[in-house]
Amino acid sequence: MKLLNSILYLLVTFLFIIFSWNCSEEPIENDLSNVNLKIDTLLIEDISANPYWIAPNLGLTDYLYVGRTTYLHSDYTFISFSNNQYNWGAFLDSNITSFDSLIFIINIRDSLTNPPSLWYSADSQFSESKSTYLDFSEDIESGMSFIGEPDTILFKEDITDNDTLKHFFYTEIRWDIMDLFDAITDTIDTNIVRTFILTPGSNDSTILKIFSREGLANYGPKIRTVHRVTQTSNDSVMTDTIKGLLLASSDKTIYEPIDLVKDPSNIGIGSGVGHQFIMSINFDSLSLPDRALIRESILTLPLDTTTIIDKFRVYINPLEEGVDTSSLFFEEDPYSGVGFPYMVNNLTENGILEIEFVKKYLQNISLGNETNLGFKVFASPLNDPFDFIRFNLNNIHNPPSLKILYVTN
Amino acid sequence: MLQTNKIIILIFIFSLSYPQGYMNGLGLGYLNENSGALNSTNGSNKLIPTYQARISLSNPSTWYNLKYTHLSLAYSSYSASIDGQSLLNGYSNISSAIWIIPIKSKAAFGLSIEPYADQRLSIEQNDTTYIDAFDRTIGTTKSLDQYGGLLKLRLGSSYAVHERLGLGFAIDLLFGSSRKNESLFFDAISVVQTSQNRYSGLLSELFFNYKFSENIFAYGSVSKAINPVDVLITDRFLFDDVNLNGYHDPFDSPAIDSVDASPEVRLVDVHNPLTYSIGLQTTINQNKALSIEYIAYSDEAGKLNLINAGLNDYIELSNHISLSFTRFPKDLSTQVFDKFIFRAGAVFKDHELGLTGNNIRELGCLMGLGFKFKNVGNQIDLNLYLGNRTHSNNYHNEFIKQLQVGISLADLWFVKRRQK
Repeated sequence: MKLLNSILYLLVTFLFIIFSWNCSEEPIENDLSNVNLKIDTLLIEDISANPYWIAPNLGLTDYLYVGRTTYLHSDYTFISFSNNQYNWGAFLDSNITSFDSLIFIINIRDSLTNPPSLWYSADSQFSESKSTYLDFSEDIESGMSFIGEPDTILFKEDITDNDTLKHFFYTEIRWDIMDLFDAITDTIDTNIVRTFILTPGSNDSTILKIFSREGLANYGPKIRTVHRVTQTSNDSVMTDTIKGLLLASSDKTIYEPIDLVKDPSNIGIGSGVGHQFIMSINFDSLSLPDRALIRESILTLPLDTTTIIDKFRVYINPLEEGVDTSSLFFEEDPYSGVGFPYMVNNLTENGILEIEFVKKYLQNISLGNETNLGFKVFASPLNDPFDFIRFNLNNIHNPPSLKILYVTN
Repeated sequence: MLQTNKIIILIFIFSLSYPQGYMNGLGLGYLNENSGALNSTNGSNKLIPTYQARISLSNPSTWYNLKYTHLSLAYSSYSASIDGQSLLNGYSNISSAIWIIPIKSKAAFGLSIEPYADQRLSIEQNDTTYIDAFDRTIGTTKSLDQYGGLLKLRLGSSYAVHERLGLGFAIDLLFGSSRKNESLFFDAISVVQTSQNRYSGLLSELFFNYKFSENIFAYGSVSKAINPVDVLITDRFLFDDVNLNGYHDPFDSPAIDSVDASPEVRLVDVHNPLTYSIGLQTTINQNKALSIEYIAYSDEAGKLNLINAGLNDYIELSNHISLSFTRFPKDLSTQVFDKFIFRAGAVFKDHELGLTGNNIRELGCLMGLGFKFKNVGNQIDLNLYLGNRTHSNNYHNEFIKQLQVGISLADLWFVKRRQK
């Protein structure tokens, strides 16, 4: 009996241990000086730049502009309404018997002090993505019909909480264009483009900021119609008066830089004046130790103190291919960048541009997968086109730099 | 009742601590031969029979004593608690699978697979290092995770030269791979260096058993490498482990397809073990035996520090001595108690490290139980090993536990059955 009890105890012991046994893995603490991973840094101050200018081409922006500064004119803002079924085509319905009114409406971001003038052209063509001031001659107005200054100006307030704008004031401007009814409903001319042109008013030094069709919803250029629709049912004929909206199908402001000094020492950027530059950084596949991993790279460019603008958005795009030229002006930008995900952007702050630089691209240069051809630096189209900044790459106290933090084994 | 409570309290204390051991980070890892018990059928011995009378599954020179073909599987759990570190750790795996075919009690042929070295290890640096980088101070910590190990595929045979002498020979094919992640953690992301080691080697071992008299037996073996272990090392490119999962995946930087591994480096003859084993067993009556066994191990290559193991050192010399008591079953008895096998033993191991010259000493005891059933000799075995390991350097002491369960099935194979 004693023996049986002993065996039983042993069995219970084994069973208990089996059921209480866990498989788990928690690290033990120990010195790991044999792990050779270590952090190191590289500071590059050999940064240079070559500026160039292009004919400014700002399409698909949130705002349209009308007005002039000493160095930039935006004399023409084009707005067109296409002929597809969501625009004029819808009004060719035989049930629409007559139009009572046609009102052209734009909304200006702030209060209005100097109303713009409106023109109409049935055949004035423009491209949102390509047209620049070089495409238009000085006597552009000769082929257009002058409509004049606005008929109605309404100061309004938007108290809705939009994502981008909250509680703002704006000015709604209206033109009665019923006189153009025959011209804009012409169905014989198949090339009709129905282009309206806004030009500065009498005081052209005031810049008007107008909501574009790509900007805040419901605030883009439009034509409001009041028309009658007749419907026949059995023996009865019913006529309704209906309000309709025609939204602009394309719009664009044409910017013309004035008296630009195209000086190679002028390192700056501005979207309205088409000012950009190519930045060269002395970094190649031999700059870092073999098989180093870049953890962080910060580019710092100091601004010229005469042009400090905070929150000015700057884009930096690695060049896809080099261009062998010494020209300073181009009708179209000859430099193409590799784009996302290597393109980066950030805002200027406290007189410098400090940007988490294209770490992945630098890593690929270090690996020999990419060649460092330079970087195109340009202003974001989201900036005010009349703003520009200049960089001071010769700043002795705060030189331009690329700080790289990397890990090696 | 009081005795039962004491046992339960004791078991509960033992069951609470499960950390891993430092030896997994030395050289090729924790060699299976350094375990307190090789597998469930062996007790504390390597050569001396504790499975059945005059039969040890890990000593091919005794295999011809089997009457039937045997298939034996053993499962092992291992853990080691470390003084001063309150961790919950441990792991388990198949500790051996062996198939032995005896041929007319004169010879035998066998095939087995078992772990040779275990490299599973996870270490964290116990302090933070600070460095100045540009205008800020960065705190970094290191960690190391290691997985994998080597397996040993054994092809063995034995032959009864005459009534007193039996010889055995085995070829051991060593193979396996391990992956190591070295991490440097700072700014909430780890930079990870992954490397992979692939191992191959071929060992040979010669065994003998000799019967001095009816109750005194001697056992011995010599093991030497035919092809010392080679290692093929591949270092992957460093990566920012953004999602902290230890793998270079599409969320990490740089992109996987933008980097290549560094060229493979082959290190030859990094592990060249030479082992001498000798043991004596004496039966003190019909089914009880006392044994003593001594094993001397040395790594003739002396290069294991080159494979950059987790702890950057390796075992160069080892001496094991074990004492054991075994009570074998009585084959002819019909009593249930007589079908049990009881094993008890004590082990002392002394290891000397090759790079630092430090010592690791282990003292342990083992208790095992087996149950033999059916006429062919099927058997279930359980082993519990408890040991204490001390390090002469600054490593903490370890308390080791090993639990093994095994089942052996025997049958007549390769015999033509008469059709009914």
